[in-house]
Amino acid sequence: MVLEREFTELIDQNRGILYKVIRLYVRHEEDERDLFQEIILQAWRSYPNFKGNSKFSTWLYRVALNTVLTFKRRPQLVVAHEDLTLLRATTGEKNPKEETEALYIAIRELNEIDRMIVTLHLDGYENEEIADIAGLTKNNTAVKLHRIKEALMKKLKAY
Amino acid sequence: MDLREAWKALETDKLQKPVLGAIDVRKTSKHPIQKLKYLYKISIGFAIVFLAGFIILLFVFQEPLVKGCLVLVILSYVFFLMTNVSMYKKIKVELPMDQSLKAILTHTHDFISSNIRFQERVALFLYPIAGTAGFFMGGSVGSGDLERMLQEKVVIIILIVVLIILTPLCYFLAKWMYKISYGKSLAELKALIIELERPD
Repeated sequence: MVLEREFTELIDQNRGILYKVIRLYVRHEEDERDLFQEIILQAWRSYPNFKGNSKFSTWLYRVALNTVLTFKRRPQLVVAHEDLTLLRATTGEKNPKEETEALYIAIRELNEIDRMIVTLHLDGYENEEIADIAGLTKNNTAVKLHRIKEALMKKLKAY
Repeated sequence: MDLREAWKALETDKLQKPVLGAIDVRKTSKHPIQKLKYLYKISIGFAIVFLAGFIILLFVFQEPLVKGCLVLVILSYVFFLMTNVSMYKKIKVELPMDQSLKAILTHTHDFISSNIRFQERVALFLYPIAGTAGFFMGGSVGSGDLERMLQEKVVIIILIVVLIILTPLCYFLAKWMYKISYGKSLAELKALIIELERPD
């Protein structure tokens, strides 16, 4: 019971991680709710293995990504307002809010593995940590990251 | 555009839009592996019902050939039940979610695939036995004298033809049903594994 309370408090303090992962990978409201619960459940089941070698937030981020990517989700349809080419045409000129929106759309247009690698990088994780979370070698992570960043910049320049 | 600046803005704005739901650790999982466990439960339930039905039929039919066949079906179902219970017990819903993504994707994909293959193989062994028993029971009820009916060559040919058609038909039907339930999920998992393994 004490463990459950401790866990619930930790999840509550790190809710933002769950929101972020869900917003990046899910488009259906029903999937959002299902995944929110599923991540909490999987984290609770894995919690006894959490040894505190890393920060709880890093551990939860990893559990959330693993859960989302192994969960059966509904088809990820592209929504009209999430089209990078339409964004510029509808708004005319660039402003910071629009750039943020463009980044969001560009990241969502990446495949799911690339999306994970680049978001971990943007969150400040080192290549070694990203490699460990993804199950890749450090070298492969660096190469992939370079390619993804290039593709992302190309998309953002084009909009 | 400064990517990190734009990301920070994104993190504090769009990516923080709350998801409805309370923090509850007692909800039921909807993960594919958990669903596979439910499937085993259903399969075990059906096997128990059929087993009970075959045991009742054992007392209904008096012909030794039908009885013999029913005993064979019952033994096959007991084997089916035991293997299903054993597999059910082996399924761990506590997935090692804090391992690397590649490890968990591979684990989930291989676990689901091997379980489906196992179910298909067991079913392939059960269909001919159940089909033969059904044929004998039908023959016993229809003709009244199964032994005399089986002396006719055409009946044996029909039985063989029925088994030749029915066994693969049932097998492919089961395969198709598993494809509907898990095909897409497995293909998605495989695609992610390939993407991770792809050298850039």
